[in-house]
Amino acid sequence: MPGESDWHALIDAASGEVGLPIAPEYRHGVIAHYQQTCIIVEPLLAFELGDEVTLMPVFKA
Amino acid sequence: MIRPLSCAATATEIAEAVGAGEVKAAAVVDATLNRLSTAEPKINGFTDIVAARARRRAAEFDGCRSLKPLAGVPFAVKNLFDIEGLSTRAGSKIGAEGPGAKRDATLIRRLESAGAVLIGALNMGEYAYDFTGQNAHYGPSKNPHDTTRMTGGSSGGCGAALAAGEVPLALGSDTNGSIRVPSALCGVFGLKPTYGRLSRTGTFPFVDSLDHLGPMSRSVADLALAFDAMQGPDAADPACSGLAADPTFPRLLEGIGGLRIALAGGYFAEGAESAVFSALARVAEALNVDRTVIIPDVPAARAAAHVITAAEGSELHLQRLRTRPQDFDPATRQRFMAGALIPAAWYLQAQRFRRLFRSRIASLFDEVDVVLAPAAPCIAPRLGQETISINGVEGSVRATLGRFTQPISLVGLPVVSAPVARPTGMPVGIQLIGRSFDEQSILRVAAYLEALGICVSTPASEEDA
Repeated sequence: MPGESDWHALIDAASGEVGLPIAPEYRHGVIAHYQQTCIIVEPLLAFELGDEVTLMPVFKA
Repeated sequence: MIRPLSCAATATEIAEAVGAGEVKAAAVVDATLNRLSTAEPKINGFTDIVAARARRRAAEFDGCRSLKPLAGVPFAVKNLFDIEGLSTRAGSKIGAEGPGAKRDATLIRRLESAGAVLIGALNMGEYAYDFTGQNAHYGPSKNPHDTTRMTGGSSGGCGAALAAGEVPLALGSDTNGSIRVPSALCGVFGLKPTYGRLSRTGTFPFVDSLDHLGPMSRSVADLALAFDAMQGPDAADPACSGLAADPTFPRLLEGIGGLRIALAGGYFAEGAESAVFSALARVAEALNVDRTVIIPDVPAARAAAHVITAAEGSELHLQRLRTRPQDFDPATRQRFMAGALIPAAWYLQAQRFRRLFRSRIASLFDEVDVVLAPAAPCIAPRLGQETISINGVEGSVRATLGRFTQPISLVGLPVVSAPVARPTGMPVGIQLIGRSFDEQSILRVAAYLEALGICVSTPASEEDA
Protein backbone atom coordinates (compact mmCIF):
# COMPACT_ATOMS: atom_id res chain seq x y z
CA MET A 1 0.00 0.00 0.00
CA PRO A 2 1.47 3.37 -0.96
CA GLY A 3 2.35 5.80 1.82
CA GLU A 4 0.69 9.16 2.38
CA SER A 5 3.33 11.05 0.43
CA ASP A 6 2.95 8.66 -2.50
CA TRP A 7 -0.77 9.44 -2.72
CA HIS A 8 -0.05 13.15 -2.69
CA ALA A 9 2.55 12.71 -5.43
CA LEU A 10 0.15 10.65 -7.51
CA ILE A 11 -2.65 13.19 -7.18
CA ASP A 12 -0.27 16.04 -8.04
CA ALA A 13 0.99 14.26 -11.15
CA ALA A 14 -2.41 13.13 -12.39
CA SER A 15 -4.18 16.42 -11.74
CA GLY A 16 -1.33 18.22 -13.48
CA GLU A 17 -1.73 15.98 -16.52
CA VAL A 18 -5.43 16.75 -16.88
CA GLY A 19 -5.06 20.41 -15.95
CA LEU A 20 -7.25 20.17 -12.88
CA PRO A 21 -5.94 22.25 -9.98
CA ILE A 22 -6.97 20.79 -6.64
CA ALA A 23 -7.13 23.34 -3.85
CA PRO A 24 -5.66 22.34 -0.48
CA GLU A 25 -9.09 22.22 1.16
CA TYR A 26 -10.25 19.60 -1.37
CA ARG A 27 -7.09 17.50 -1.42
CA HIS A 28 -7.90 15.22 1.52
CA GLY A 29 -11.31 14.33 0.09
CA VAL A 30 -9.95 13.72 -3.39
CA ILE A 31 -7.28 11.37 -2.07
CA ALA A 32 -9.82 9.52 0.08
CA HIS A 33 -12.14 8.99 -2.88
CA TYR A 34 -9.27 7.96 -5.14
CA GLN A 35 -8.12 5.44 -2.53
CA GLN A 36 -11.65 4.09 -2.28
CA THR A 37 -11.78 3.65 -6.05
CA CYS A 38 -8.48 1.78 -5.94
CA ILE A 39 -10.09 -0.73 -3.59
CA ILE A 40 -13.38 -0.96 -5.49
CA VAL A 41 -11.65 -1.56 -8.82
CA GLU A 42 -9.66 -4.58 -7.61
CA PRO A 43 -12.13 -7.30 -8.71
CA LEU A 44 -12.34 -5.68 -12.13
CA LEU A 45 -8.61 -5.45 -12.64
CA ALA A 46 -8.21 -9.04 -11.47
CA PHE A 47 -10.61 -10.17 -14.18
CA GLU A 48 -8.84 -11.71 -17.17
CA LEU A 49 -10.35 -10.55 -20.44
CA GLY A 50 -9.44 -12.27 -23.70
CA ASP A 51 -8.17 -10.21 -26.61
CA GLU A 52 -11.41 -10.91 -28.43
CA VAL A 53 -13.44 -8.96 -25.85
CA THR A 54 -13.64 -5.57 -27.47
CA LEU A 55 -15.50 -2.38 -26.67
CA MET A 56 -19.02 -1.55 -27.80
CA PRO A 57 -18.54 2.06 -28.94
CA VAL A 58 -22.26 2.77 -28.73
CA PHE A 59 -23.56 0.36 -26.16
CA LYS A 60 -26.63 -1.64 -27.15
CA ALA A 61 -28.46 -3.60 -24.51
CA MET B 1 -64.19 15.18 -2.84
CA ILE B 2 -64.34 12.89 -5.84
CA ARG B 3 -61.50 10.49 -6.30
CA PRO B 4 -59.87 11.99 -9.44
CA LEU B 5 -59.09 15.06 -7.37
CA SER B 6 -57.72 13.19 -4.36
CA CYS B 7 -54.08 12.73 -3.52
CA ALA B 8 -54.44 8.98 -3.98
CA ALA B 9 -55.80 9.18 -7.54
CA THR B 10 -53.68 7.31 -10.05
CA ALA B 11 -52.91 8.56 -13.54
CA THR B 12 -55.16 5.86 -14.96
CA GLU B 13 -58.10 6.96 -12.80
CA ILE B 14 -57.61 10.62 -13.64
CA ALA B 15 -57.36 9.92 -17.38
CA GLU B 16 -60.53 7.82 -17.28
CA ALA B 17 -62.45 10.50 -15.37
CA VAL B 18 -61.24 13.35 -17.60
CA GLY B 19 -61.82 11.29 -20.73
CA ALA B 20 -65.36 10.50 -19.61
CA GLY B 21 -66.06 14.14 -18.92
CA GLU B 22 -66.58 13.51 -15.18
CA VAL B 23 -64.00 16.09 -14.24
CA LYS B 24 -62.18 18.89 -16.05
CA ALA B 25 -58.42 18.81 -16.55
CA ALA B 26 -58.41 22.33 -15.10
CA ALA B 27 -59.95 21.04 -11.87
CA VAL B 28 -57.32 18.32 -11.65
CA VAL B 29 -54.55 20.89 -12.11
CA ASP B 30 -56.06 23.21 -9.49
CA ALA B 31 -56.33 20.35 -6.98
CA THR B 32 -52.72 19.43 -7.68
CA LEU B 33 -51.45 22.97 -7.19
CA ASN B 34 -53.43 23.24 -3.95
CA ARG B 35 -51.82 20.08 -2.65
CA LEU B 36 -48.38 21.40 -3.53
CA SER B 37 -48.94 24.54 -1.50
CA THR B 38 -49.63 22.40 1.57
CA ALA B 39 -47.14 19.59 1.07
CA GLU B 40 -44.09 21.34 -0.34
CA PRO B 41 -42.99 23.11 2.85
CA LYS B 42 -42.71 19.66 4.46
CA ILE B 43 -41.45 17.61 1.52
CA ASN B 44 -39.28 19.87 -0.67
CA GLY B 45 -39.89 17.69 -3.70
CA PHE B 46 -40.17 20.50 -6.26
CA THR B 47 -37.64 23.11 -7.36
CA ASP B 48 -39.85 24.71 -10.02
CA ILE B 49 -43.63 24.85 -10.43
CA VAL B 50 -45.02 25.90 -13.81
CA ALA B 51 -48.52 26.78 -12.61
CA ALA B 52 -49.40 29.21 -15.41
CA ARG B 53 -48.27 26.80 -18.09
CA ALA B 54 -50.20 23.93 -16.45
CA ARG B 55 -53.40 25.96 -16.18
CA ARG B 56 -53.08 27.12 -19.78
CA ARG B 57 -52.53 23.62 -21.07
CA ALA B 58 -55.41 22.20 -19.01
CA ALA B 59 -57.72 24.91 -20.37
CA GLU B 60 -56.63 24.10 -23.92
CA PHE B 61 -57.30 20.43 -23.30
CA ASP B 62 -60.74 21.08 -21.82
CA GLY B 63 -61.54 23.29 -24.80
CA CYS B 64 -61.00 20.55 -27.36
CA ARG B 65 -61.29 17.44 -25.27
CA SER B 66 -60.15 14.34 -27.11
CA LEU B 67 -59.59 10.77 -26.03
CA LYS B 68 -56.01 10.52 -24.91
CA PRO B 69 -54.42 7.83 -22.72
CA LEU B 70 -53.12 10.37 -20.18
CA ALA B 71 -55.91 12.94 -20.46
CA GLY B 72 -55.43 15.65 -17.86
CA VAL B 73 -52.85 13.67 -15.86
CA PRO B 74 -50.52 15.98 -13.89
CA PHE B 75 -46.87 14.96 -13.97
CA ALA B 76 -43.51 16.36 -12.94
CA VAL B 77 -39.96 15.71 -14.05
CA LYS B 78 -36.57 15.48 -12.37
CA ASN B 79 -34.94 18.85 -12.91
CA LEU B 80 -32.41 17.50 -15.41
CA PHE B 81 -35.17 17.48 -18.04
CA ASP B 82 -35.30 20.57 -20.25
CA ILE B 83 -38.46 22.61 -19.73
CA GLU B 84 -38.91 25.40 -22.26
CA GLY B 85 -38.01 28.74 -20.74
CA LEU B 86 -36.46 27.31 -17.54
CA SER B 87 -32.80 26.78 -16.75
CA THR B 88 -32.01 23.08 -16.50
CA ARG B 89 -30.63 22.79 -12.98
CA ALA B 90 -29.61 19.11 -12.93
CA GLY B 91 -29.50 19.66 -9.19
CA SER B 92 -26.70 22.19 -9.49
CA LYS B 93 -26.18 25.85 -8.69
CA ILE B 94 -24.21 26.24 -11.92
CA GLY B 95 -27.02 24.83 -14.07
CA ALA B 96 -29.55 27.19 -12.49
CA GLU B 97 -27.54 30.12 -13.83
CA GLY B 98 -27.76 28.84 -17.40
CA PRO B 99 -30.10 30.10 -20.12
CA GLY B 100 -33.67 28.90 -20.36
CA ALA B 101 -34.17 25.74 -22.39
CA LYS B 102 -35.32 26.37 -25.94
CA ARG B 103 -37.75 23.47 -25.98
CA ASP B 104 -39.07 20.69 -23.79
CA ALA B 105 -37.28 17.36 -23.55
CA THR B 106 -38.55 14.73 -25.97
CA LEU B 107 -40.22 12.65 -23.25
CA ILE B 108 -42.12 15.68 -21.91
CA ARG B 109 -43.40 16.37 -25.39
CA ARG B 110 -44.44 12.75 -25.83
CA LEU B 111 -46.31 12.69 -22.51
CA GLU B 112 -48.06 15.95 -23.32
CA SER B 113 -49.01 14.59 -26.74
CA ALA B 114 -50.74 11.81 -24.80
CA GLY B 115 -52.74 14.39 -22.81
CA ALA B 116 -50.62 14.80 -19.68
CA VAL B 117 -50.02 18.20 -18.05
CA LEU B 118 -46.58 19.23 -16.79
CA ILE B 119 -46.68 20.69 -13.28
CA GLY B 120 -43.02 21.35 -12.61
CA ALA B 121 -39.47 20.18 -12.00
CA LEU B 122 -38.33 18.00 -9.13
CA ASN B 123 -35.44 18.13 -6.70
CA MET B 124 -32.49 15.80 -7.23
CA GLY B 125 -28.94 15.10 -6.10
CA GLU B 126 -26.42 17.31 -7.85
CA TYR B 127 -25.69 16.17 -11.41
CA ALA B 128 -27.36 12.84 -10.50
CA TYR B 129 -24.21 11.66 -8.68
CA ASP B 130 -26.21 10.63 -5.65
CA PHE B 131 -28.15 7.87 -3.92
CA THR B 132 -29.52 9.94 -1.00
CA GLY B 133 -31.83 12.67 -2.35
CA GLN B 134 -29.85 15.30 -0.47
CA ASN B 135 -28.69 18.53 -2.07
CA ALA B 136 -26.58 21.31 -0.55
CA HIS B 137 -28.04 23.97 -2.85
CA TYR B 138 -31.77 23.24 -2.67
CA GLY B 139 -32.07 21.22 0.54
CA PRO B 140 -32.93 17.55 0.77
CA SER B 141 -36.13 16.09 -0.56
CA LYS B 142 -37.78 14.51 2.49
CA ASN B 143 -39.39 11.10 2.70
CA PRO B 144 -43.15 11.62 3.17
CA HIS B 145 -43.36 8.43 5.24
CA ASP B 146 -40.97 10.00 7.78
CA THR B 147 -39.65 13.45 6.98
CA THR B 148 -36.55 12.90 9.09
CA ARG B 149 -35.45 10.28 6.57
CA MET B 150 -33.95 10.29 3.09
CA THR B 151 -35.93 9.79 -0.09
CA GLY B 152 -33.03 8.05 -1.79
CA GLY B 153 -31.60 9.47 -4.97
CA SER B 154 -30.81 10.86 -7.18
CA SER B 155 -34.46 11.08 -8.30
CA GLY B 156 -35.38 11.98 -4.73
CA GLY B 157 -37.92 14.65 -5.59
CA CYS B 158 -39.76 12.13 -7.78
CA GLY B 159 -40.09 9.71 -4.88
CA ALA B 160 -41.14 12.46 -2.49
CA ALA B 161 -43.76 13.97 -4.80
CA LEU B 162 -45.34 10.60 -5.51
CA ALA B 163 -45.29 9.30 -1.95
CA ALA B 164 -46.77 12.58 -0.71
CA GLY B 165 -49.59 12.31 -3.25
CA GLU B 166 -48.61 15.56 -4.91
CA VAL B 167 -48.68 14.11 -8.43
CA PRO B 168 -49.49 10.63 -9.75
CA LEU B 169 -46.67 10.44 -12.29
CA ALA B 170 -43.04 11.54 -12.44
CA LEU B 171 -40.10 11.06 -14.76
CA GLY B 172 -36.69 10.27 -13.33
CA SER B 173 -33.31 9.11 -14.50
CA ASP B 174 -31.33 6.04 -13.49
CA THR B 175 -27.61 5.59 -14.09
CA ASN B 176 -26.77 3.23 -11.24
CA GLY B 177 -30.10 3.02 -9.43
CA SER B 178 -31.49 6.55 -9.28
CA ILE B 179 -35.05 5.50 -10.15
CA ARG B 180 -35.00 2.20 -8.26
CA VAL B 181 -33.48 3.37 -4.96
CA PRO B 182 -35.90 6.28 -4.32
CA SER B 183 -38.79 4.10 -5.50
CA ALA B 184 -37.85 1.55 -2.85
CA LEU B 185 -37.25 4.04 -0.03
CA CYS B 186 -40.41 6.05 -0.77
CA GLY B 187 -42.67 3.08 -1.46
CA VAL B 188 -43.57 3.77 -5.09
CA PHE B 189 -43.25 1.93 -8.39
CA GLY B 190 -40.43 2.77 -10.79
CA LEU B 191 -39.52 1.52 -14.24
CA LYS B 192 -35.96 1.67 -15.47
CA PRO B 193 -36.48 0.56 -19.05
CA THR B 194 -33.84 -1.15 -21.17
CA TYR B 195 -30.87 1.06 -21.99
CA GLY B 196 -31.73 2.78 -25.26
CA ARG B 197 -35.48 2.17 -25.04
CA LEU B 198 -36.45 5.77 -24.25
CA SER B 199 -35.00 8.89 -25.81
CA ARG B 200 -32.80 11.07 -23.62
CA THR B 201 -32.87 14.08 -25.93
CA GLY B 202 -33.26 17.30 -24.02
CA THR B 203 -31.97 16.02 -20.69
CA PHE B 204 -28.73 16.86 -18.92
CA PRO B 205 -26.47 13.80 -19.02
CA PHE B 206 -24.52 12.21 -16.20
CA VAL B 207 -22.85 9.09 -17.68
CA ASP B 208 -23.82 8.77 -21.31
CA SER B 209 -23.14 5.06 -21.62
CA LEU B 210 -25.20 4.25 -18.51
CA ASP B 211 -27.96 6.90 -18.42
CA HIS B 212 -31.59 5.76 -18.60
CA LEU B 213 -34.84 7.71 -18.20
CA GLY B 214 -38.08 6.23 -16.94
CA PRO B 215 -41.43 6.73 -15.21
CA MET B 216 -42.28 6.49 -11.51
CA SER B 217 -45.82 6.22 -10.17
CA ARG B 218 -48.10 4.71 -7.55
CA SER B 219 -49.55 2.03 -9.83
CA VAL B 220 -48.23 -0.42 -12.38
CA ALA B 221 -50.87 0.59 -14.92
CA ASP B 222 -49.57 4.16 -14.69
CA LEU B 223 -46.02 2.98 -15.39
CA ALA B 224 -47.23 1.09 -18.44
CA LEU B 225 -49.39 3.94 -19.76
CA ALA B 226 -46.58 6.45 -19.44
CA PHE B 227 -43.95 4.07 -20.79
CA ASP B 228 -46.07 3.30 -23.85
CA ALA B 229 -46.64 6.99 -24.51
CA MET B 230 -42.89 7.65 -24.47
CA GLN B 231 -41.58 4.72 -26.51
CA GLY B 232 -40.22 5.03 -30.02
CA PRO B 233 -37.01 5.78 -31.92
CA ASP B 234 -35.26 9.15 -31.77
CA ALA B 235 -32.40 9.80 -34.13
CA ALA B 236 -31.25 12.68 -31.93
CA ASP B 237 -30.16 10.23 -29.20
CA PRO B 238 -27.43 7.94 -30.61
CA ALA B 239 -28.14 5.32 -27.97
CA CYS B 240 -31.88 5.24 -28.60
CA SER B 241 -32.99 1.96 -30.15
CA GLY B 242 -34.57 1.87 -33.58
CA LEU B 243 -37.02 -0.76 -32.39
CA ALA B 244 -40.67 0.00 -32.86
CA ALA B 245 -42.73 0.69 -29.76
CA ASP B 246 -43.90 -2.42 -27.93
CA PRO B 247 -47.06 -1.40 -26.06
CA THR B 248 -47.25 -2.96 -22.63
CA PHE B 249 -50.56 -1.66 -21.29
CA PRO B 250 -52.83 -3.91 -23.39
CA ARG B 251 -51.19 -7.08 -22.01
CA LEU B 252 -50.67 -5.90 -18.46
CA LEU B 253 -53.34 -8.12 -16.92
CA GLU B 254 -52.44 -11.32 -18.72
CA GLY B 255 -50.99 -12.74 -15.52
CA ILE B 256 -47.77 -14.65 -15.04
CA GLY B 257 -48.66 -17.88 -16.84
CA GLY B 258 -45.72 -19.09 -18.90
CA LEU B 259 -43.22 -16.79 -17.26
CA ARG B 260 -40.17 -18.44 -15.69
CA ILE B 261 -39.35 -16.51 -12.53
CA ALA B 262 -36.32 -17.05 -10.33
CA LEU B 263 -34.76 -15.52 -7.24
CA ALA B 264 -31.26 -14.05 -7.49
CA GLY B 265 -28.93 -15.88 -5.11
CA GLY B 266 -25.29 -15.43 -4.13
CA TYR B 267 -24.37 -11.74 -3.96
CA PHE B 268 -28.04 -10.75 -3.97
CA ALA B 269 -28.88 -13.00 -1.00
CA GLU B 270 -26.67 -11.12 1.45
CA GLY B 271 -25.93 -7.57 2.52
CA ALA B 272 -29.49 -6.35 3.22
CA GLU B 273 -31.57 -5.77 6.32
CA SER B 274 -33.88 -8.59 7.35
CA ALA B 275 -36.96 -6.52 6.47
CA VAL B 276 -35.81 -6.47 2.84
CA PHE B 277 -35.27 -10.21 2.64
CA SER B 278 -38.58 -10.87 4.41
CA ALA B 279 -40.35 -8.75 1.81
CA LEU B 280 -38.55 -10.52 -0.99
CA ALA B 281 -39.53 -13.91 0.46
CA ARG B 282 -43.19 -12.84 0.53
CA VAL B 283 -42.99 -11.91 -3.13
CA ALA B 284 -41.26 -15.16 -4.07
CA GLU B 285 -43.91 -17.15 -2.19
CA ALA B 286 -46.74 -15.27 -3.90
CA LEU B 287 -45.20 -16.09 -7.26
CA ASN B 288 -44.49 -19.73 -6.32
CA VAL B 289 -40.83 -19.22 -7.10
CA ASP B 290 -38.76 -22.28 -6.27
CA ARG B 291 -35.70 -21.58 -8.33
CA THR B 292 -32.57 -19.58 -7.57
CA VAL B 293 -30.13 -18.29 -10.17
CA ILE B 294 -26.65 -16.98 -9.66
CA ILE B 295 -25.76 -13.84 -11.58
CA PRO B 296 -22.04 -14.24 -12.29
CA ASP B 297 -19.17 -11.84 -11.59
CA VAL B 298 -21.25 -9.26 -9.71
CA PRO B 299 -18.39 -7.65 -7.73
CA ALA B 300 -16.50 -7.00 -10.97
CA ALA B 301 -19.70 -5.66 -12.54
CA ARG B 302 -20.19 -3.24 -9.69
CA ALA B 303 -16.56 -2.15 -9.96
CA ALA B 304 -16.98 -1.59 -13.69
CA ALA B 305 -20.08 0.54 -13.13
CA HIS B 306 -18.20 2.57 -10.52
CA VAL B 307 -15.25 3.23 -12.81
CA ILE B 308 -17.35 4.08 -15.87
CA THR B 309 -19.49 6.42 -13.78
CA ALA B 310 -16.53 8.19 -12.22
CA ALA B 311 -14.59 8.53 -15.46
CA GLU B 312 -17.40 9.62 -17.79
CA GLY B 313 -19.16 11.79 -15.22
CA SER B 314 -15.99 13.56 -14.22
CA GLU B 315 -14.86 14.20 -17.76
CA LEU B 316 -18.24 15.80 -18.49
CA HIS B 317 -17.69 18.30 -15.69
CA LEU B 318 -13.94 18.79 -16.06
CA GLN B 319 -14.09 22.39 -17.25
CA ARG B 320 -16.53 23.34 -14.48
CA LEU B 321 -14.28 21.58 -11.94
CA ARG B 322 -11.36 23.65 -13.17
CA THR B 323 -13.11 26.99 -13.03
CA ARG B 324 -15.90 26.76 -10.44
CA PRO B 325 -15.10 24.01 -7.93
CA GLN B 326 -16.48 26.13 -5.08
CA ASP B 327 -19.93 26.06 -6.70
CA PHE B 328 -20.28 22.27 -6.61
CA ASP B 329 -22.14 20.46 -3.85
CA PRO B 330 -19.46 19.23 -1.43
CA ALA B 331 -20.99 15.77 -1.71
CA THR B 332 -20.08 15.54 -5.40
CA ARG B 333 -17.07 17.83 -5.84
CA GLN B 334 -14.26 15.64 -4.52
CA ARG B 335 -15.74 12.50 -6.07
CA PHE B 336 -15.81 14.18 -9.48
CA MET B 337 -12.26 15.43 -8.99
CA ALA B 338 -11.01 11.97 -8.03
CA GLY B 339 -12.85 10.46 -10.99
CA ALA B 340 -11.10 12.82 -13.39
CA LEU B 341 -7.78 11.21 -12.42
CA ILE B 342 -8.72 7.59 -13.16
CA PRO B 343 -6.36 5.86 -15.62
CA ALA B 344 -7.75 5.24 -19.09
CA ALA B 345 -6.83 1.55 -18.78
CA TRP B 346 -9.30 1.12 -15.90
CA TYR B 347 -12.09 2.71 -17.90
CA LEU B 348 -11.38 0.60 -20.97
CA GLN B 349 -11.14 -2.57 -18.90
CA ALA B 350 -14.54 -1.68 -17.43
CA GLN B 351 -16.13 -1.17 -20.84
CA ARG B 352 -14.63 -4.42 -22.20
CA PHE B 353 -15.78 -6.32 -19.11
CA ARG B 354 -19.22 -4.84 -19.65
CA ARG B 355 -19.48 -6.54 -23.01
CA LEU B 356 -18.53 -9.91 -21.55
CA PHE B 357 -20.93 -9.48 -18.64
CA ARG B 358 -23.70 -8.63 -21.07
CA SER B 359 -23.24 -11.91 -22.95
CA ARG B 360 -23.20 -13.92 -19.70
CA ILE B 361 -26.38 -12.26 -18.49
CA ALA B 362 -28.02 -12.89 -21.85
CA SER B 363 -27.24 -16.60 -21.41
CA LEU B 364 -28.86 -16.55 -17.98
CA PHE B 365 -32.02 -15.12 -19.52
CA ASP B 366 -32.18 -18.07 -21.91
CA GLU B 367 -33.35 -20.03 -18.88
CA VAL B 368 -35.54 -17.50 -17.06
CA ASP B 369 -37.76 -14.55 -17.94
CA VAL B 370 -37.76 -12.54 -14.70
CA VAL B 371 -35.30 -12.44 -11.81
CA LEU B 372 -36.21 -11.16 -8.34
CA ALA B 373 -33.68 -9.24 -6.25
CA PRO B 374 -33.69 -6.60 -3.51
CA ALA B 375 -33.81 -2.96 -4.66
CA ALA B 376 -32.30 -0.97 -1.78
CA PRO B 377 -30.60 -2.96 1.00
CA CYS B 378 -32.29 -1.07 3.83
CA ILE B 379 -35.14 1.22 4.79
CA ALA B 380 -34.56 4.94 4.28
CA PRO B 381 -31.59 6.17 6.34
CA ARG B 382 -31.88 9.33 8.41
CA LEU B 383 -31.16 12.64 6.70
CA GLY B 384 -27.50 13.45 7.17
CA GLN B 385 -26.58 9.88 8.03
CA GLU B 386 -23.15 9.06 6.62
CA THR B 387 -22.65 5.39 7.48
CA ILE B 388 -24.84 2.36 7.86
CA SER B 389 -24.26 -1.02 9.45
CA ILE B 390 -25.92 -4.05 7.91
CA ASN B 391 -25.35 -7.41 9.58
CA GLY B 392 -22.36 -5.96 11.37
CA VAL B 393 -20.72 -4.63 8.21
CA GLU B 394 -20.36 -0.86 8.23
CA GLY B 395 -20.19 1.11 5.01
CA SER B 396 -20.98 4.54 3.63
CA VAL B 397 -24.66 5.17 3.05
CA ARG B 398 -23.99 6.38 -0.49
CA ALA B 399 -22.15 3.26 -1.57
CA THR B 400 -24.42 0.85 0.29
CA LEU B 401 -27.68 2.11 -1.22
CA GLY B 402 -26.59 1.11 -4.74
CA ARG B 403 -25.40 -2.38 -3.85
CA PHE B 404 -28.17 -4.22 -5.69
CA THR B 405 -29.03 -1.80 -8.49
CA GLN B 406 -25.62 -0.84 -9.85
CA PRO B 407 -24.61 -4.23 -11.33
CA ILE B 408 -27.92 -4.55 -13.21
CA SER B 409 -27.92 -1.18 -14.95
CA LEU B 410 -24.34 -1.83 -16.10
CA VAL B 411 -25.84 -4.03 -18.83
CA GLY B 412 -28.98 -2.01 -19.30
CA LEU B 413 -31.54 -4.63 -18.30
CA PRO B 414 -35.11 -3.41 -17.75
CA VAL B 415 -36.20 -3.38 -14.10
CA VAL B 416 -39.38 -2.58 -12.22
CA SER B 417 -38.79 -1.46 -8.65
CA ALA B 418 -41.89 -2.51 -6.74
CA PRO B 419 -42.82 -1.51 -3.16
CA VAL B 420 -43.76 -4.45 -0.95
CA ALA B 421 -46.75 -3.93 1.31
CA ARG B 422 -45.85 -3.91 5.01
CA PRO B 423 -48.32 -3.43 7.84
CA THR B 424 -45.90 -1.17 9.72
CA GLY B 425 -42.55 0.46 9.18
CA MET B 426 -40.85 2.27 6.35
CA PRO B 427 -41.20 1.06 2.75
CA VAL B 428 -38.92 -1.52 1.17
CA GLY B 429 -38.71 -2.43 -2.49
CA ILE B 430 -37.70 -5.27 -4.76
CA GLN B 431 -36.37 -5.43 -8.31
CA LEU B 432 -38.13 -7.39 -11.05
CA ILE B 433 -35.37 -7.78 -13.64
CA GLY B 434 -36.09 -8.77 -17.24
CA ARG B 435 -34.13 -9.53 -20.37
CA SER B 436 -33.20 -6.66 -22.66
CA PHE B 437 -36.19 -5.01 -24.32
CA ASP B 438 -38.68 -7.21 -22.46
CA GLU B 439 -40.37 -4.62 -20.27
CA GLN B 440 -43.61 -6.49 -20.94
CA SER B 441 -42.82 -9.44 -18.67
CA ILE B 442 -41.64 -7.45 -15.66
CA LEU B 443 -44.65 -5.14 -15.84
CA ARG B 444 -46.97 -8.15 -16.02
CA VAL B 445 -45.39 -9.65 -12.91
CA ALA B 446 -45.60 -6.31 -11.12
CA ALA B 447 -49.28 -5.95 -12.05
CA TYR B 448 -49.94 -9.48 -10.80
CA LEU B 449 -48.29 -8.70 -7.46
CA GLU B 450 -50.22 -5.44 -7.22
CA ALA B 451 -53.52 -7.24 -7.86
CA LEU B 452 -52.67 -9.67 -5.06
CA GLY B 453 -51.99 -6.78 -2.69
CA ILE B 454 -48.38 -7.92 -2.23
CA CYS B 455 -46.89 -4.86 -3.91
CA VAL B 456 -48.80 -1.64 -3.32
CA SER B 457 -48.06 2.06 -3.15
CA THR B 458 -50.10 4.26 -0.85
CA PRO B 459 -49.50 7.99 -0.36
CA ALA B 460 -48.19 8.80 3.08
CA SER B 461 -51.05 11.25 3.63
CA GLU B 462 -53.55 8.41 3.07
CA GLU B 463 -51.77 6.29 5.67
CA ASP B 464 -52.15 9.10 8.18
CA ALA B 465 -55.83 9.65 7.43
